[in-house]
Amino acid sequence: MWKSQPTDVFKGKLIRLTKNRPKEMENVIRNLSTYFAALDEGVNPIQIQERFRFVHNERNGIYAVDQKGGPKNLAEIRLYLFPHVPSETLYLLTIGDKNSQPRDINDCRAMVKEIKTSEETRNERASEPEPTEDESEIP
Amino acid sequence: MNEPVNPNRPKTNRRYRNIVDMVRDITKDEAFTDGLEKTIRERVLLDHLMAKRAAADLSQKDIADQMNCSQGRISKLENGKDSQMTIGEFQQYANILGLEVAFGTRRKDINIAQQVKLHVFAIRKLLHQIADISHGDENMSNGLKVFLSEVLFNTVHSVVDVNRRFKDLVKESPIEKPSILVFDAESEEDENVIHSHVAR
Repeated sequence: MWKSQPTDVFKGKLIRLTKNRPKEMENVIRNLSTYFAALDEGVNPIQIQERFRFVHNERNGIYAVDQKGGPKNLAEIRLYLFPHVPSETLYLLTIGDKNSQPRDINDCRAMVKEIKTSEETRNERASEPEPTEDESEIP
Repeated sequence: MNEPVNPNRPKTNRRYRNIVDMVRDITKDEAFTDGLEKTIRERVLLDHLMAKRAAADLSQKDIADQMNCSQGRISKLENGKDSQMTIGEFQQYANILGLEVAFGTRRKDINIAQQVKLHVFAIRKLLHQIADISHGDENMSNGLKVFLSEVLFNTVHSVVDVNRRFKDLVKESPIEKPSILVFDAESEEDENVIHSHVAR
């Protein structure tokens, strides 16, 4: 089962934008909920992006969910995410508007690099053989 | 020596199964979260259909073509609320996805534990149906024995999995023989079968 994991950057932006742009944020999160339902259905992220118009491919495994589907006069907001399929973790990276888009994407790339490294390290640790009884006694 | 702090490192901690819970936890904004929860609750069926459409790798236009309407109509349908969709549209959409629509009701005040019990009873009923069908047919009976072992193993595995997740909680209050509670073994032989699976 998939789980979402927000970054601290995401948390800060979420608090600010739910105050300043509540209508836009309601639509973005509504779309995020639909995206999450598709992940739970076992659909791969590439296919989700192809089939849902509110999802954009930002490359490097990063996708952005927008506010489309609600009233037409809403400002453009994008919620950036990184679905990590092996661990079924949906990393919620950041949120931004059209003006901050290039900077947001750059920030996301740096975050994803870190996430991939930490996931690989975790996998390597998990695949290491259990220490034998003799080894575990070594101080 | 301490590792240098990387400013790009995404600080994360808690993982959430529920998007609304996550928003509530982070923003502490009850008014916004209540509104959001209402919006999401109004779209349970639509989210389900859209997820199934993506799983079937179909576009809005594919659905529209088979429902003899425009792609714009499907877009409007998907962006609306469950209450704005007719039962006929729901059935048509589901049928295109190869889904059979099944309706059911349950008491509003039922809790999760009671839901689990209801599912267990439903599984038991289905297993009895399979047993009735296979009665008198040696091949089917042999197949049923293997199948029942799989059901038993998967059920126990699921309980053990949950048990592991909440191990700290379980340490204080260990779960007692879940297989016996679930399957309500009627004979000593049944209990032996269950215990042999639990012991694996």
